[in-house]
Amino acid sequence: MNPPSQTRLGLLVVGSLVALAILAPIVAPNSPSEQFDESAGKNLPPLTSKFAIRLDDGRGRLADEVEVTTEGVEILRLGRIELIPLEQMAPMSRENPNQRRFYLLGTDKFGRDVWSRIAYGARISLSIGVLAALIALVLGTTVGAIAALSNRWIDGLLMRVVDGLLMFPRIFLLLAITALIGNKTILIILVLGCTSWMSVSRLARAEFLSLQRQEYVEAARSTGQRPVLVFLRHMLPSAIPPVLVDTTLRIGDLILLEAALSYLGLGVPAPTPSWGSIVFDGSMELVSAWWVSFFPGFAIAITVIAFNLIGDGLRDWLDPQMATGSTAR
Amino acid sequence: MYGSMASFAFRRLGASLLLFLIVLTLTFFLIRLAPGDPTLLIEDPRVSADYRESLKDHWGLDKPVFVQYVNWMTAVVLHADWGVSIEHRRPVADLLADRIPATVLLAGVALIIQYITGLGLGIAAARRAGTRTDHLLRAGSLLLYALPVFWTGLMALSLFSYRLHWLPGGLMHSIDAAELGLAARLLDLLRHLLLPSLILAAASAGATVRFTRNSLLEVLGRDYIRTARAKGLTEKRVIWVHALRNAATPLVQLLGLSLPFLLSGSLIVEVVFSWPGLGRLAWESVLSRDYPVILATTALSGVLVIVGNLLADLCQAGLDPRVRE
Amino acid sequence: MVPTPNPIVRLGTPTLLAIAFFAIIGCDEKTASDSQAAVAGSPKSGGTLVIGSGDDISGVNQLVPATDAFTQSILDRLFLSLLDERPDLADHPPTFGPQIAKSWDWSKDHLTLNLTLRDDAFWSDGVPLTAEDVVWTWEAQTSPELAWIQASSKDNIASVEALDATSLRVQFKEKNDSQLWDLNEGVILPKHLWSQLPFSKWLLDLDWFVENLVVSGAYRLESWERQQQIVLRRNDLYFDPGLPMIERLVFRIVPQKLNQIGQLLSGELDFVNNIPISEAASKDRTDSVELRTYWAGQYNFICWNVTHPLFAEAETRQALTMAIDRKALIDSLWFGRAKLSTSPILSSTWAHNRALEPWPYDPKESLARLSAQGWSDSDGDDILDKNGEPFSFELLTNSSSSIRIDATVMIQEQLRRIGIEVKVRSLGFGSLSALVSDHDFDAFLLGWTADTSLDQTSIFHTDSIDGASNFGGYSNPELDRLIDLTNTDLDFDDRTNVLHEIQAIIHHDQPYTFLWESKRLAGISKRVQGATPNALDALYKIETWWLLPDS
Repeated sequence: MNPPSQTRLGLLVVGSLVALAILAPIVAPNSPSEQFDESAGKNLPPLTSKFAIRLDDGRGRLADEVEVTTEGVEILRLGRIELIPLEQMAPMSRENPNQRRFYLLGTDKFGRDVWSRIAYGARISLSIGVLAALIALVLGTTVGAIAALSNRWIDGLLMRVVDGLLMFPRIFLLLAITALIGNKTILIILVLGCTSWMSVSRLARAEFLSLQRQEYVEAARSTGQRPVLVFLRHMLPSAIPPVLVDTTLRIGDLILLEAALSYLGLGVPAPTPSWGSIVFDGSMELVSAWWVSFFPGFAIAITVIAFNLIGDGLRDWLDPQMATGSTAR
Repeated sequence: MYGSMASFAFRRLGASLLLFLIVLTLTFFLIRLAPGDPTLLIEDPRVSADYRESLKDHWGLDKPVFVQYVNWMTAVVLHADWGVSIEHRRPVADLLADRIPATVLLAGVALIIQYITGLGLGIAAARRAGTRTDHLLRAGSLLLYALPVFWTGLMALSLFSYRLHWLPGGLMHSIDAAELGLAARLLDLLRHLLLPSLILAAASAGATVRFTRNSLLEVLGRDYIRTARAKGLTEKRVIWVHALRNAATPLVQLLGLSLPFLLSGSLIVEVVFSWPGLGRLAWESVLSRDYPVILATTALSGVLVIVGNLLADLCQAGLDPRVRE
Repeated sequence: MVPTPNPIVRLGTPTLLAIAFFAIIGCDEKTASDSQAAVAGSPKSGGTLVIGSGDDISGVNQLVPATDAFTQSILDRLFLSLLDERPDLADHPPTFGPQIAKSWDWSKDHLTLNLTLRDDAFWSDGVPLTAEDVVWTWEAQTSPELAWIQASSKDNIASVEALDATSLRVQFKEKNDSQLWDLNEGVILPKHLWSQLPFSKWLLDLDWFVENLVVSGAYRLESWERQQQIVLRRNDLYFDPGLPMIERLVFRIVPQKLNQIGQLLSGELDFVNNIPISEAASKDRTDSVELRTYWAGQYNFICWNVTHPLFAEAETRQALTMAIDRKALIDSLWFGRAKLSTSPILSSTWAHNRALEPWPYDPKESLARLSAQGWSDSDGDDILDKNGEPFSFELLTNSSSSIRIDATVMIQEQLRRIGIEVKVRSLGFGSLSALVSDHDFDAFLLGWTADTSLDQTSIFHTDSIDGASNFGGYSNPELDRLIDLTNTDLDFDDRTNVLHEIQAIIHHDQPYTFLWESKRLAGISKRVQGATPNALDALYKIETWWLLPDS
């Protein structure tokens, strides 16, 4: 595949994922945390379709067969025939007792629809990835600019701290921090962002340093413009594109990290679905219900690949000399 | 030349020590992120009054932060004293000593696998740059990078261990390992090591393939390679002798860069495969909020990376005299 | 009583088994006697039994630190108790058989007990186990320096004296039903070795006891690789020379239940307890493993913190109970194979109040009661509120029990239906105990292994709010009076009546929402013969189990 078509594919995939996340309430047939029938709806394999009767008290009953009688409906559920009187049925089911539910990717141990969870999970995984990457972008660019523009001592100190932070394997650092401050969604975004800015700051610093030596920057400075204005007008706009490319690639990284955190039980709190926590939920039933863990893993991989394709494409577009191949990461 | 190597080693050692101190300092301030700040350690109700007093004394928790910092650093650096685990009631240093070898073994073996496959496939890709093989390898390495480690681990475990019964389902030894002969024991260890190390290596092998390919391609474009080819040297000789030698420097650099990644992956693999290493200890201590152990494992993971980087730098200097300047 | 992430393990006899013993889905349901008949050939000794465990043991000394259930089950293999408690409590309080004590008789006033100890029990270093060990163990158990968590069981004992090596005299303060039970709590420790370390140093050096370990039970500790495995080997000095049958017990520490099950199926493990019952429905089982369910002697509940404004009123707690579909929990999590719990006295015990009707699952009635108390969704966010405060609380449970975690997720969804927001959190057992003992929680879901004395003091008595297990801070003077009454000398009928009344009050006040009486599912390799896990002990009489030779 040549670079432009790669990028297009990446954009297409990310675009559909964003659409999936935004349109989750429409695309997903069921609520992601609804346990419609905890017993008869447990661990159903993909492509299962069942009659669904809602009861007046909010519960649901999944049935293999439904027969309408004068007092209510007779259903075949879990191999037994049960009678549900009319007055126990929700109005919707009373009108149409033959409604069905279709589980595209099966259900988990609570009878929740895996496809709906993945669709809603896209919201969490994508937004955490993107927001955390933006935090890293802002923090990293700021620190990089401070380091590049200030004196040698501050520069040296900042860069040594960056080196030190980079020495921590990320997961260890993330675990330690979540252990100390807890795991609310907003905290997770902050923590992921605040532990990912270090290499951005290095990149930004290098950009700013080389820009400072550019003729047009020196020219602007010699005309007596205030340094802040020179920075904002002439340096920042030129430094942003390469940092943005890096950010695109970083989103994939952050989505992987968030998934790992959720798998380790320290991600977004239940019952909010995140792709990592769906894998974890299914990991106990891997032998009997492989689909629960299997599909979200796929979703993660596709998303990460898509962001990488876009990032690589953008890089090639900005820097045609590198077009022979993407750099290692 | 020997002298320059020694002075280089000395300088790098100095730089590593500085990093080491920075990592410890960052760890020390990490615990102050918590709302309860330094008293957090001693407010845990599981800690008995006696132990609390001894902790206060030990770390000087009623003294100013700077004094605490100095005390803590002295204890950790000079006496390897990380305190006592709240959950296990053992010195943290003992716990760490039990776990580090397992992690070093796992990560080390994974690193070797990562390099062998990464180099092999990377060379293959570079030699066939632009062909379908190249594209396939690039796509494959991207896929390996993008698959979550815990997911591949779970899938491999359920396939090879639970369904096919080819490999053991986790841990490091069989129960009878202690009674086996040396060869059988080694084989037993290898069987346990196979899946976790492959999964761990797979995650980073993709990056190595891409890196090798690109470094080689860059070198292959240079003049002296064209000269070597013009002289009629075989393609094999050109790649293995001339090109690879010059591409080696960035490859050793990659070693240093991939270490934090490797240890992070190792944590997840250790959890999935019940491997008794540092990562599993870190995870368990986070779940039980065992703060002394959390701090120690976090700091130590950083220290392991520093040591690995130092070794990589020294190797690099051995390979390429220019680095020492 | 011990809150249990794992079964607490004690000794017993098979009388309970007839009701509590099934083979699971797919196999024919067997009774204990069938399974005895199925034992092939004559028992052979030798071999190694490999048992999976999620946690490591916390030490080898029962008194420090507080032992968890798994540690206790290992210690019961290493150390003998004075008596052997029988689980024959279906119709009357439990009775006791001999263990270290061969025989005993009571004085007329039932306050003095004379015991004769066996003279053929030895510590594994050859030193005889004598009455001196028993006396010293009692001193250790009641030492304020050690503050043993079960020390209150010894409150009624005035003195323990050794008359000679095999004669012991115990003086009680008052006569009640649990005298023998109180006396028997805790295993007997080796005085000749462990008295060398002063009590004040016990908590500081737990490794010392590992280095200085002698045992009196059927097995001795051969090796302990922390977080990896614990190896027990038969104790040649065990008083019954024919036992144990199995030469070696290996406890492998496999933290993930999934890995345990996988290793059981692949033959690496022979015995895995607490298998999630959903796995029983899996068709991927091999023929080499048999799955058995048994009653756990445990009830699970939600404890409401009644000092929290949300849960102060009994009306609210009743409404919460009615909004939780307990039958759905049992159907989904246990595939119908658990029992609805209604009171802290298990339905299989003699004093259970069968007249209690479980609160119905009735979300409408629940909502009606809540709105009568002023709760309504006034801001349209689907969450009930009152005076601007939403009905929202945090439900804790322990992270090592997947069934309990699953239960909290289901309860979260059930309460959402009537507009109550629940945040669920699972914690390590240590952290959870710390929070609940501090009364620093809204509500938690856990299980009690019901102790056989049926004494409710430590859980529901006002005096137990501080320092004991009345974590929710529940207080009812009438209940206190009745509980105190059970600790006096009552005849069988009076005692039954008082216990029934206690249950009725608790049922009405709902300081706990009672969920289910659990079963456990053990996976056992078919090469293991004679295994009869039961309510009191998953490894019940393991010294008589034996292994089929490898074919």
